[in-house]
Amino acid sequence: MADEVTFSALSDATVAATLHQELLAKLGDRHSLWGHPAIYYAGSVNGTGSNVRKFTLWGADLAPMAAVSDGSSASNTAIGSYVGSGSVTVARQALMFTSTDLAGMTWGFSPATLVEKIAESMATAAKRRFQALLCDIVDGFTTTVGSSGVDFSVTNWFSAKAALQSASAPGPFLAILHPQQLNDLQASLRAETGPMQFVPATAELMALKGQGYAGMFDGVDIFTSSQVPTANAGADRAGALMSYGAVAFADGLVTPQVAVGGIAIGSGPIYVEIERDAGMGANKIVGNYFVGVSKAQDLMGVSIITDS
Amino acid sequence: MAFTTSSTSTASHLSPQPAQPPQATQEVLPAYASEHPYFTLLYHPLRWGWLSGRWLPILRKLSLTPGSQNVDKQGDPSMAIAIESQQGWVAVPHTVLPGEDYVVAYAARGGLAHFSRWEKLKLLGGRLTTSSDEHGYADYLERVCARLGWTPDPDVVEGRITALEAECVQDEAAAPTDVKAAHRAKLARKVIDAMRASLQPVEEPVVEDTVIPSPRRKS
Repeated sequence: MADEVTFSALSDATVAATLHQELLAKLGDRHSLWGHPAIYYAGSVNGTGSNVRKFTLWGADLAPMAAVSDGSSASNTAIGSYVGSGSVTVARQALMFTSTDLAGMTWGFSPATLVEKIAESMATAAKRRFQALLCDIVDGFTTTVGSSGVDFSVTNWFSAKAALQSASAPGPFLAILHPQQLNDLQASLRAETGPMQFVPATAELMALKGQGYAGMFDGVDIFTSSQVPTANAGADRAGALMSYGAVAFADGLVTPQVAVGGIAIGSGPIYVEIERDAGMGANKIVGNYFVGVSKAQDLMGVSIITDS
Repeated sequence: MAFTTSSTSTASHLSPQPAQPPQATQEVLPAYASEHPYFTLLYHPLRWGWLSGRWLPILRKLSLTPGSQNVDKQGDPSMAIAIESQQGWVAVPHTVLPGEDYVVAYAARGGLAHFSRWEKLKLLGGRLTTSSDEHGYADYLERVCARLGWTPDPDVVEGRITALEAECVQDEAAAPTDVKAAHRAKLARKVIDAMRASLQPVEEPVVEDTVIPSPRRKS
């Protein structure tokens, strides 16, 4: 037997590889607490004359009454110590891709074009940027629990919660932990006895609360993020347990300038445009997001600094 | 600027040119610069902890990223530091110890990625791993504290010991059924003892009484 029609015999009638018509998500941390009610919205800077948004912390109702003897005049109370403020500075965050026409015309995934597919990714990019700004804050609460080089434990958890309760921080609470800290907490919980239970995230809950939702423990929603910062020169990670309202953000909306050219996709805080560069034979896809995040009230959060 | 192109072209010249590696093969850290921004460390008198067997401040990072914690649109941290200082935070100058900036930078994707000087980076099979020189960092902090005159407030120290002791007691209670808690309790007890020992006043060296010769009587 000879001259069978084998695959190798087809030679020029075959190709080295073909693309499967599906884009598989590359592994990565896409989670963001963007839009979560725990983060206080301090408003938009549009039309305010400043890129800094200031908010007032009003506590006149915390001024204590005191006993005054009959017939005596009450003395004035200075209101200054019962009124405070916080501020958020809004700045530009951006991302740009330049896609050449040749890349676009050979793009083999339908129905979206390459430009559309890149433009779609801008929303996730902006939300991840928000998460990075949020995680910048969690190591910065004055109150800390945990010991450097020691794994996070359920005992640390209760110390953090006790610190918040001692400061009269109102619930509900929210935890943002590095994945390693969550692993350590779960390892510590495995040995606990009694009614305490970690309620892991289900598919339904993750659909509602996002990829980073890890579950609930002790009535607190726990979110993980790989963007939780290091502490003590990389020896530790610094997550946080905090009340709703411990952190604030502000943003600004781009006013569409349609006459200038280009195509604006969508509206809202994340502004995506496609700019044509005919000389280059390319399209520029630009996403802009104007946002700022900062601490609102220090005592409403506790930094959890434990081994990384 | 990174372009998405389906192919690259190479220019041909007859005269030889020094070889240049293509941009894609230039060695940079497999990390994005924007995820490792430049930072300044901040100190707070309430944040002290036990690092490498010493009482040292637990500093925090202020990322100099516009929009983060009131860092201005050009990356100017002045307002951010002013706001933080109202809450008791103090910026640690990068040159507090001459020639020993606590931030180092590496070429990475999209620019420079910044790390603590004591974070040791390693590439293993193309993956970036980090470890920390904890003792080196503690030594540095000790010298910074000596230079800036920072010492822990006794009440802060006592509060940290009390908190650790409370956790240790809980772990000791759980020890019979929880091996990890027993291990934690044992370690914590050692640390607490070391913390307490560090608070003992240093005993002055005993100086033997020297006999002071009585002044001679004038005859």
